[in-house]
Amino acid sequence: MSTPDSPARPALTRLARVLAVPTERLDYLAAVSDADLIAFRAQITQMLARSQAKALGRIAAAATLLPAAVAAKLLKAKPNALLAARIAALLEPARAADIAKRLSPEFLAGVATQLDPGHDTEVLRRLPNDRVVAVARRLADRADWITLADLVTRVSDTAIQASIDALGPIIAVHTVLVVENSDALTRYSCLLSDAMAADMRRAAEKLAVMADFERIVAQLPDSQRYRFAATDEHTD
Amino acid sequence: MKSLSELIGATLPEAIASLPDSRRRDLTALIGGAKKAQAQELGDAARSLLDLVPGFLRGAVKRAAGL
Repeated sequence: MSTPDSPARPALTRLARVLAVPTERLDYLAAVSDADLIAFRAQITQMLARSQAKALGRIAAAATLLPAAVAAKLLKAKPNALLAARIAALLEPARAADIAKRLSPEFLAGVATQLDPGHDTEVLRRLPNDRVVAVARRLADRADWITLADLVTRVSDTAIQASIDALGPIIAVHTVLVVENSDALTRYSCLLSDAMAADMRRAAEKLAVMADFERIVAQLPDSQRYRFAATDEHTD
Repeated sequence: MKSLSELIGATLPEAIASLPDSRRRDLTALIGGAKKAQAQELGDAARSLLDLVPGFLRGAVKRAAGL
């Protein structure tokens, strides 16, 4: 079971996004395991990256000639999330982050939808906390839980904590339900306060997603799992 | 038309490789379409940005971009 506005198969939805088609268009892949869908998606994104490498490399080289303020101004005048995401992956991370912090949260939310979940981590870790929170808020407003999860599990520890504090337990539940990587899930969990972990359990009950929530919690190491237990099971 | 594995350039996961021909052809078309659409979008976006580069930088930027 999934929430009305969260995808039933996040791995299938992520693949559909790469192909720019509705998830339903890939219904015939329903029997394929998440692991195979993730591996297949990685093969596709690698092939796309190879096919675009020469042209993007030239554009990135040209972008290095522009001061960050000028590059940001151009992107504001002619915003294109796909190009910004691809170039960000090729620029020196500090420079990419310098440009990104000059762009609107709304635009960065669009860029986040185009980032390859397997890359760009260094740039994302350099984004200021307030900018991460603002982008996360835009994604939550759109109920784009997949992009939100892909974003907030790859930013800095302090940015993760800031986004959790700002967005609250209901959004945190939506996020963990679609986190793809178990290491990322564990890292996210480690950054939650005990109070937030308990609040998330209550939020999962309120959202009627307890079965999914329990399935996610079961993936956590023992050292984390107990924090999400029902109150009468929770011992400090 | 290339096969799915030729287009991807890698050994496909078994569950994908064992799909019926019609499904693999469909995936090949979808991936090829995405590849073409992204290339078009990236090219158009880059050209539109270059038009806005300040005059004193435009020559150097266009040369670096190979345009």
